This record gives sequence, structure tokens and C-alpha cells, in this order.
Amino acid sequence: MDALIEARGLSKRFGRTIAVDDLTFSVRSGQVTGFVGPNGAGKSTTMRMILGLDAPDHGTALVNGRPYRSLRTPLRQVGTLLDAMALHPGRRAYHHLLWLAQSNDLPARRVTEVLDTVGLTPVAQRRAGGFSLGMRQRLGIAAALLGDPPILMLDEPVNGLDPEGVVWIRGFLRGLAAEGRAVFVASHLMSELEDTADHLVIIGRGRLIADTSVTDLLGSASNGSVTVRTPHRSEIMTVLAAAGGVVTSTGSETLTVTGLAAERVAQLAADRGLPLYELTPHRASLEDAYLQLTRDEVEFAAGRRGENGAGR
Amino acid sequence: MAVASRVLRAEWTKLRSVPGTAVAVAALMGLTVLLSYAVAASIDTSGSGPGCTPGAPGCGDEDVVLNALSGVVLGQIAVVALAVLAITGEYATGTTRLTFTAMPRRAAVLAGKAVVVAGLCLLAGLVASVAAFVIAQPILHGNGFVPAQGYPVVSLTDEPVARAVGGTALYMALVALLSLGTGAIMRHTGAAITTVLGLLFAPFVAALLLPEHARELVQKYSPMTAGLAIQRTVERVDSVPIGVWAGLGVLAAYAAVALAGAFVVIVRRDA
Amino acid sequence: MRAGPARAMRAEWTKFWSARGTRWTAFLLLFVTVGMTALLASASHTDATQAGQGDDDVVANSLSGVRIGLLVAITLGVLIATSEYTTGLIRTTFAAIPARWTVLLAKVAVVGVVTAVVGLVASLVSFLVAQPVIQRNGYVAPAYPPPSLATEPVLRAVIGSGLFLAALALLSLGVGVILRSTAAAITTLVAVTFVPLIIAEPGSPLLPAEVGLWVRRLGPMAGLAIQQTRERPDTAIGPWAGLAVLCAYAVVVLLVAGWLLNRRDAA
Repeated sequence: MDALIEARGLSKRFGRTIAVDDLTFSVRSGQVTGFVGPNGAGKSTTMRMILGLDAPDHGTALVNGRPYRSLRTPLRQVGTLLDAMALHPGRRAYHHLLWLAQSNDLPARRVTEVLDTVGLTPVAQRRAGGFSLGMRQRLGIAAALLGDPPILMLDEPVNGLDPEGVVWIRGFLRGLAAEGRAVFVASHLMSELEDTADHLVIIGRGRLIADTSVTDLLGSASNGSVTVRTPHRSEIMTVLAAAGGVVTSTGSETLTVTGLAAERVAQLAADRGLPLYELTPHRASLEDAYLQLTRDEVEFAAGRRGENGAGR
Repeated sequence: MAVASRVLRAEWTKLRSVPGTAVAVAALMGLTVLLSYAVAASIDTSGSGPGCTPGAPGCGDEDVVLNALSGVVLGQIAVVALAVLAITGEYATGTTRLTFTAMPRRAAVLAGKAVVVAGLCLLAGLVASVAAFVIAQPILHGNGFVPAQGYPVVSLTDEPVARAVGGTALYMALVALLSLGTGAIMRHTGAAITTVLGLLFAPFVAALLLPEHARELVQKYSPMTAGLAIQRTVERVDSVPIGVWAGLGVLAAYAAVALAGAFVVIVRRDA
Repeated sequence: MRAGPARAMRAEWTKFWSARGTRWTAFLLLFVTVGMTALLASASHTDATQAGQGDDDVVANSLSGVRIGLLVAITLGVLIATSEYTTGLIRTTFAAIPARWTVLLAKVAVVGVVTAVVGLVASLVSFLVAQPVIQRNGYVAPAYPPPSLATEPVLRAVIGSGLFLAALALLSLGVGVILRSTAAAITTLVAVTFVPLIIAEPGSPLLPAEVGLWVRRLGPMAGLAIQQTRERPDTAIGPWAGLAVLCAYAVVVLLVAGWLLNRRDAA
């Protein structure tokens, strides 16, 4: 797989705020790369630097080995969705896509084709001012697809979509990656990327925290827990503790065990002849792993009440 | 060049697909014709100019062509709005980033926008000037501007008339370029429109309050007063003391400075 | 401060001073008015030496910068109205204070007070700055005895200029609310105020004296008559009557604006 987007040592500050600090990563074809970080981490700034919209103070960003601003028909190489709200309210959706197509020598029929792909054909002649957020998002995705590009960069594409739309776009992105394209998706919600991303670039406060595959990240996270419901609570507690598990009682009949796999718990109970009414494993989610990693890098955290040592 | 044609097509689509453009063009033409009509309807040869009795020396020197084209003073306001919005509207909606993502050669984008906007204003201005002139003629004749009073019949094919009418259209195109450049530099609709309108009208107003020597200086070097010299077909005591084409050149210089600044700013600044 | 209007006014006041754009136009109004007066005064000139010889209105000329500064007053009034529409803030405003007349009146109060105060300061400073300058240019006794602020006509002209700018800003506010677009409002106002100012000036070759007179009498720029301190053959209307004409325009437009504000969606 080639590296289609290469960022090396990207840095940018706005006044005294360091937005991006020495960021180096690559985005490869044939997979979905999630670009994750808390709000304000520098994701949008990084994307803008890759697209030549903002000039980095240091470092370079290359697309297909070249700086973006040197591309002659960039929409045929990179499809972008940065801001779904960037629409002139008086302009019809069709014309919004038409001028984009014309700017890169794309035929007008591409406009109707991408509108159809995202399901906006019925409102093609409606002025963008009347669009809901979800419709604007779809229009933005349509714009990214105009040039049938091998690279896609999308900033928060799921934002504003209804559940049906969210499911659609997940499958859509995976399909694009399966076709061999490089899909680069920024999000501040890891749960969105859970079933979509293959690879993750995690940043916080402008700095790279992790550049890893999803499987590796899940593997390195602390294991999940197992919930057990049984009438023989105290016996089970003793047995599991003796086997090395950390057991917490969460109800008259329920326990939560960490440190032991669900299969081990079941085996230990069966060996003693203790019936279990419920055995539910909770795998570490991507969200948990991500939160563990970025706990210290969150810039804007709501104050937490009742926490020792005062919330941030 | 392939890039040029792509940029021109895209910018033209952008301009024509926004409802404000049609409104501005209609206002441009409507206001120009309206004011020209009003002026033509209200002047006559009975000495309502500065101290004139028919037959006396210095009389019979109303510049009928200039008067018939005076509507441009009003119509240019629509030009300013149109040209400023063509660029500040993109900044306001965030579409600028989309434009520079699709067309990273920013200088080409600005050039394309300039050609499209100025071209539209040139065309609309030409239609407006011709219409204003043609509509004013019978009214002026009715008000006494006839050969017997020293006013020969003028037509569009006469060289001074063609120059005045075509020059008025050129004037509008140059005002459009000045507005576009200012809008690109300031990025804010209200600020840019106010600045350009101030640049056009303030010297005019100031000139009215100044004594002769200072007034002539201001008129020679201000964009509107100098630029409108192109409409002049009769030399009068109160004519702006600058050549007809030189005056337009002054306006062109202002527009060039604004556009030069715009090019620098657009290419170098973050989008 | 539980009364609705008081709360609304406080909100509008905060909005005005915390937004860089609107804050700067207030300073610009002062700067442009004084600066232009100084500039025009320094270029002025008279040959009159005998008493009763010259007929320049020295006081009005010492307030000439107002004719340029009024462009800034227009912009200020328009921006207070339209900037909320471009950012979508208007929905937040109406969600916080659903009584739309209250919102409009609060804006009227803030715009009126700010432009009146800034306008007054600008007029006063313009007048004071202009005196030594024009005296150097020949405007001295006996043809032009120096005008004194302690006299009624001069005081009326100076204070009235501040009121003129305020009334014009309020007219602009109303137009901005009606049209909801910065570009449309500014261009309309300039077309309706500035252009007649130019083509209907006494001595303008574009309109005959009769027609120009009526335009100066009934147009919004009749308000500039407040600066007049001497009768001239081309005087169109009395000072207070002229200001009243402008105020009438402002009132009518604001009433229409309020009515529309209530009827229309918040956009």
C-alpha cells in the first residue's frame, strides 16, 4: 500500500496558541484511517495545511508525493469535506456542484451522478439555504466524490446525519476503502469510527499521541470486565478472587469481575458446581482505549463535580 | 490555456447562480436609466444653468450627452455592491476554502473572478448607457435642446457620443475592479462597500465645499470625478480639468492598486 | 434589572461594545468627521475683507466633515441590524428575548445614544479644530467675525450635527432590519442620501435650481440644514424643520421595520 498523504513535522501556531506541534504521519490506500482527537486538538488545522489552505510554520504535507497547491486538477486526486455549512444560501445544490465540476474539467453528468449517490436528487434544484444539516452534509460528501478521487479527506462526516445516514456512511466509507482508495476521516468521537476505521492517528493538543492500527490499540488497552449474576455470590467471590480476579459487588446477586476472561470465570464456577444465571463479557471498546490515552490531553473538559482535587 | 477556461467557467457559474447578481444587474440598469431620465426631464434651455440667457455668449453649452448619461452616478452603487459581494460573499459563507481547494492557483481564481465580474458590469453598463442615451434624446428635444438653440442632433454613431457611451460602460467595469480588489483585501462586506463608496463619493462632496484651486486638484485625482470625465463632450468652465481618457486612467490606477493589493493578500494569507 | 426593556438594552449595549466591527465604527465616526473637517478647513479660502462681503456659512463649513462622516453613521446603523442575520445570532437573540419590539427598541436606544454622543463630540471637536485653521485662511473680522459657541445659532448647529448623525444612524438601522442584508442596506441608503446630496447641491449642473431645491427640502439630507447659520439665496429649509424631515423618515422606516420584524420568521 502506498502512502498517499504524508505529513512530516507539521507545526502551526496562531498567536500564542500552538495548534499543531511537529506532527508526522501517513495515510495509506486501501484502508480507512481515523484521525481522532478531542475538540481543539488540531485536526481541522492539520487538514487545512494538507490542503494548502493554511501555511504551516514548519514541516511539509504531501499528497501523492506533491504539495497540494501544485496539483492541476486536485479534485480528481483528493475529495474533501471540511465544512458542510460552507454554502451560499441562495445557490441551488446543483449549481453548487456544477461550478466545482467545471473548475476541474469534470463533465456535468458527474453532478447528477454524485447527487444520486448521496440521495439528494429530489432536492437538486432547491436553494442550499433551505437544507437541513444532514442534507448539507450529504451535499458536502457529494462534492468530495465529484472527481472520483483515490483519496478522500472528510472532517466529521457523520455530524448531523440521522441513524440511517450514519449506517449508510459507515458502509460507504468501508466500500471506498475496499476499492483501494485512501480514506482519511477526522472525528472527535471514537465511537463513530469503531466499526469503520482500520488505522488510527490520535492527536491531542496538537501532538501525535498514537499512530496505530485498531487491533493493536484494542489489544494494548486493559481488558474488559465480566458481569456475573448468581445466587451464590459470596462463594463465587471467593473463588474468583483466589484465581486472581478483582471482584466488585454491584447488586444482591450481581458481581463485576476484572482480570479474568469470561471463559475462565465460567470454568471456575462450573468446577465448583455453582450455577451462573448471567455471564456477560464487556470487551474493552475503542472508546475506552481512546479515553485512557487522551485523558491527559483534553483541552476543554467540563468541570466534574465531586471529584477529588477539583475538576478542571 | 486550460486553467483559464476552467476558472472562467467556474467563476461565471458561481456568479450567475446567485440571485443577488440578477438583482444587482437590474438595479444597475434601472437606476442609471432612471436618473438619466429624471435629469433629462428637468433641464431645459431657459437659462436654468448657471446664469444663462439664450443667445448670450457661454449659453448653448449644456453638455447634453453628459447629462443624458448622468445616471451612472446612481447605477454605480449597484456595481459596487455586486463586485464586493462577489468576493466577500465567499468569505462570509466559508466558501473561500472550497474555492481554493478546487482551484489552488489562487491568482488565477482572482483573475478569473475579475474578468467575469468586470465583464458583466461592462456589458450591463453598455446596455444601460445606450438605453439612457436613447431614452433621453426625445425628452431633451422636447425641452428645447434643438439645432435652432445651438444644439445639433447627436447620435450614437458620432465619435464623441460613442466615446462617452462606451466610456461610461468602461467606467462601470473599472469601478467593479476597484470594488473587487477592495473586497478581497478587507474580506468584510460592510467595510468594503463603505470604503469604496466613500472613496467614490466623499471627494465629490468635499470638492463641492472647496475653493477653486483645491477643488480642481481633488477632482483631477479622485476616482469618480476623474473617471466621469470620459462622458464629457463640451468644454465648460466647470468641467473637470483633465483629459477624457486621462481621467479614466486615474480611475484605472486606483483599480490597479486595489487589485495588486488583493493579489498579494489572497496568495499569501491563510484562506 | 428585571424589566424587559432594561435587560434588552443591557444585552444590546454589551453586544455593541464586544464586537470589534461595531466598536470600531464608533471610533471611525469620530476620526473621519474631525479629520475631514480639518482637511476641508485647511483648503478653504476667502478674499472677503469688508463687513457683509462674503456669504460663506463659516459655522456650517466648520462642521463639513459631517457630510463624509455620515457614511460611517450609515454603516454603523446598518451593521447593528444586519450582522446578527449574517451570523445567525438573531435566532439566539429572539430566543433570549422573544418580544421583538423590545429588541428593536433596545437597538434603537443603543444606536441612538452612541451616535448622538460620538456625533456630538465629533462636531464639537471639528468646530474647535476648524476655527484657528480658517482664520489663518482669511476668515477674520470684519467680513467674518469669529463665531462663538456661546451663541444660540452656533450651539444649535454643533449639537444639531450630533443629532443629525444619530437620526441618520437610526434610519439606517431601520433599513437594515427591513432588508436584512448589509450590502443591500448600505447601497440603498447611499443611493437615497448621498446621491441627492451631490446632484441636488446648489450650483450643480445636473438639476435645475427648482428641482434641486425640492430635493434638499424633502429628502433625508434636509437634516443637514441644522448646520445652517445664515440665510442664503439657495437655502431650502429651516434648520429645525430640516432635521424634523430626517427624523420623520427615520420614524416611519423604524415603524415599518418593527412591524416586519414581528411578522417575519427570524430568518
